[in-house]
Amino acid sequence: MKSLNYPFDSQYLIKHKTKIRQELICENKTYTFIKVAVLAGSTVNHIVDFIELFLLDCGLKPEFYISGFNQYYEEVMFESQRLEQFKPDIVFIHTSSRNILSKPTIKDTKEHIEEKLDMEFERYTAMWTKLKEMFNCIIIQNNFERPMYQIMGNSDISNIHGESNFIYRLNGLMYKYSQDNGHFYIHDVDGLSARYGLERWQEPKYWYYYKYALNINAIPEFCYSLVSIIKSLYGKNKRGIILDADNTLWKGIVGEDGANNLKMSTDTGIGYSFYEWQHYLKKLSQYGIVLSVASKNNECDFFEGLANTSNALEAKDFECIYANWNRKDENIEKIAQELQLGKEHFLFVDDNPTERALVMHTDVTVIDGNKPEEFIKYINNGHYFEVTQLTKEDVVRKQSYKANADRQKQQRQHIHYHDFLRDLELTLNIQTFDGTNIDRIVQLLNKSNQFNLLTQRYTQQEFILHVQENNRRCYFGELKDRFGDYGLIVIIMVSVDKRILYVEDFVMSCRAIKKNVEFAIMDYIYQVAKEKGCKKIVGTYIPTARNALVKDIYKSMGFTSKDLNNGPITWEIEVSKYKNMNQTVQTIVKGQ
Amino acid sequence: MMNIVEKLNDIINSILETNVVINNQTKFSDLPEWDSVVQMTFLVTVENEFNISIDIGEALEAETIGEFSRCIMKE
Repeated sequence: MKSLNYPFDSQYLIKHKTKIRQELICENKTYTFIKVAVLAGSTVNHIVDFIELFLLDCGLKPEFYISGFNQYYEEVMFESQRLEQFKPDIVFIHTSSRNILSKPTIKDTKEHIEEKLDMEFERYTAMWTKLKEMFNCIIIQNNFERPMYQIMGNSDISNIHGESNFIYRLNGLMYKYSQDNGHFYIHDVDGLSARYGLERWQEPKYWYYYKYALNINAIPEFCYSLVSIIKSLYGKNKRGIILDADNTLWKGIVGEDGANNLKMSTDTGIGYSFYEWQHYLKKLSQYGIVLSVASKNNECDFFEGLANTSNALEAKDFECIYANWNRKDENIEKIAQELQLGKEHFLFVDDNPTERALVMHTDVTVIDGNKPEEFIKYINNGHYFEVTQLTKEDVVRKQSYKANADRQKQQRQHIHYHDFLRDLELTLNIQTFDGTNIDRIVQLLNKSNQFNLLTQRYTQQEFILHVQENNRRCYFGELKDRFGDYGLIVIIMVSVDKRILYVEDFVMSCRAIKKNVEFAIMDYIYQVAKEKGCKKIVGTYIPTARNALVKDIYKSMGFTSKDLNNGPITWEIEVSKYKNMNQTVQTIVKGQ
Repeated sequence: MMNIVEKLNDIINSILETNVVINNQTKFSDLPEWDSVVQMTFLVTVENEFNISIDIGEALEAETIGEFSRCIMKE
């Protein structure tokens, strides 16, 4: 329910909780039933209400056991019949600094204070041990928040007589216990109250009059944080983040500003915010969180942006990349299918409020921020990726997503993509270079990095001379589809010597990638080779930092090679063995 | 502008999910399902909506809406 999604309006929730509960129950979801025992060190009425709301919202229907006021210890240790009958799945021990019985005083010796610490901690371990023996259940224990005042001032945290120091050490003992006991989880009230604002959190009149250990207005936040542990244990964490690119991953618009002018490094203030955000995402991905992209860019522009070495994130950090001009909700649908995850497992981050509004109608959780520091805050405080059982599988899980994505991608290419291309009604107009279009041809040869087999650069003069040498022929192609005109997007240079046709420059604009244009033009070159009586077609690939995209292009066309090194690779095919590849692009040759 | 009683009426109806009509003479104890927990929700919501801090001790002594109104008018 939207009103319960982070960041929620706590005051609204407090006022309308009865109505919200009725609405949640009317939703009639399929629930998982869980039994939650709340052991209370202070008043818990509103706390139980909000635990219920947040659990119902994520499909968990709780039945509660609520201990008597401040009977958390007694009902485990001495009068446990009712609890034994209840048989909890989860025990939540709601204690606070108000529940600490023996605190240090200035008269205590060091030994006295150690004794008090042991005594206090043993009360808890005795309870946890007995609970584990009785039920083998999950135990969630609040840690202790900072005290309301510091008698010793700043020394209160460092001096052994300080209450702050005592609480700090008590917390440390609890953390150690948690590290050694897999079923035991700390609810970090100390951190939560600090983020909320300790003075506001502790508003003491609620303790004086109602024995609430925290501000009533903070109860929704408190319960949301607590329930996120339970959600995580019941497999309801988010699994992935889907990101926009321009002004979301980096500052700037790659298609307009150019990849080199994007800002995501510490050189500028604005760049720093994107730097920190990318590092945050990278850390999440190390915990098995799947990062994907749904951005409105030309795919090649996106990759150029990502190739900017100031990025903390690299292409391999993303499982699915959809950089195209389709609707975002459709791209998100495809990402979810590829990764075989429900849409409810994803967060969506986009600086554009219109895109957010579009995605808001899906099951994806939309992060409602405009800039990197807000993205981090909302994701962090939303507790979407609570770590409860970090296993080896979590860390390797990413690899299995990747395999799924690859399989799906293949399928998509072989079945659906083919139809998609057909629907585009692509037409390639092939012409022989005769001096016209020289500006565009030289520009394309000099600008293309990715689909460029030789990466040779020319001035116009050099190019004209080059074509005239060795009986070369240069062909170029202009592409259209039913939506519009791509312009001159492919160039291929050939020469013939001793019945061998050599393919030299072979360059294509990023705009035409994945449209089968390369196959269409190679089919035409095959025609040319046949007409000229050639026996073989030979092509060369010279690797650069940017052209890995076309590393296997000749292989995909049926060519073979004996070169295994990392330098230039020569590929060849018998003309008699060449098979036409293109089935989706209609080819028109000018003058035929 | 809603007057104080109207605003309190709105808060009470939201909290209890009811449609009662109250006036200055209405006693809290006569409201359906009124108990200490509801009363606390009520006090906190009044604080939030009127943007005031209530002296809870005094507020708890108010038996009627009228007495309660006088108590929050001081703030």
